Amino acid sequence: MRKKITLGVLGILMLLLLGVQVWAVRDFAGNPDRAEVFGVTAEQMELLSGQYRTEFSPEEGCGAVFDNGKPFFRQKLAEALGPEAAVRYVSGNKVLEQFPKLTLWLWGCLVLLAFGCIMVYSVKKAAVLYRSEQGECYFGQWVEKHMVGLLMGAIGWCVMLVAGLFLLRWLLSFQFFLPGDLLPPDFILDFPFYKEQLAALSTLPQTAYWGDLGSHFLWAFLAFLAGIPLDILAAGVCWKKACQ
Amino acid sequence: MKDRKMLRRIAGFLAALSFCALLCQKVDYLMCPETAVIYAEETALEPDGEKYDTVVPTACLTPKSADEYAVYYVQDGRAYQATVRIAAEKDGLAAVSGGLPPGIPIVRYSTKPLQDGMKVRITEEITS
Repeated sequence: MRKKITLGVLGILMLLLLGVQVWAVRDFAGNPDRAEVFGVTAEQMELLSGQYRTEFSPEEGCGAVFDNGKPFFRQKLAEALGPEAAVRYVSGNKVLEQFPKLTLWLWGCLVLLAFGCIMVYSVKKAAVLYRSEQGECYFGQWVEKHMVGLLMGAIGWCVMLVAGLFLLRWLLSFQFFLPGDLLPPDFILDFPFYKEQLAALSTLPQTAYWGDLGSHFLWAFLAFLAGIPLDILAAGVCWKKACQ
Repeated sequence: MKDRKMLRRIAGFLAALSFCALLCQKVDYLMCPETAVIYAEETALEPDGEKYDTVVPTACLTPKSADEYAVYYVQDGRAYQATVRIAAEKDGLAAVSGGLPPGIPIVRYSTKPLQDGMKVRITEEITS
């Protein structure tokens, strides 16, 4: 009973944290990538507007160029603007979307573990029952006696096996996205590189969109971080239940 | 009792190992840069002019020294650097000579700065 309550509370907390992540993403999901360009002239923006949707503020000398959906937006735009242009690429909407996706992926791993645990647990339960009644009847009679229970167990086993296989396929094919220029060249845990990237992003002037994105990013990140220990705890509870 | 405890530990270890393998696969995919490639052509830079074996866009070339340029090509899922010299140049195209294998895909765009021997994914083939 205590374990069920613990699992229930854990489940509610995990759902709440996912809710926070979805709320943080909601305003930005589906927005196209944009590049905030600083110190550009109206002529330069005019040239770009043939290829991309653009916004330009002549007083501030800055504008935004929106992704037209074609691949290599950043690289093509950088080529068009030249190396002197001060550009901040904002694909925060796509990066933000990764938090709930990553949470769902972790949950998928948890569900797969839970399926495995339940399957082992049900087999163990049946084996214990058979051993306790071994002296009273033969195997055939024992099967006849527990026909309904065994049949239900077998159906549940098959359903979990098929669902588990589909889930495993999804978990394997699932891929995350992070813009290439935010990733270190060869070592993912290259922390000085991330520090440099963050410093480079904050040197450019602030814009309303960038500030808004930053605060939502922080919410999603914190909710995601808080969810990790809960996921580990839930995995532990499932594991303990199966080992009983 | 001891055997069962050991069995549990082995099962736990295998589950953790599978999870780590899955995570490594995701990180490996994430770290692998996407590239758009273009094929070098055998063409003349000027009408009725001399035909060159390997003509590539100048944007694919990175200056290495006074007269040498680096160009990346993709072979067996990896990007390799070749050093070439420009024989002739016109309208954003350059006829190059040097260590570039014939008919090989050349990197035009990449989502990350490339290094020699780096694993890459071709996501677009640009036809001129």
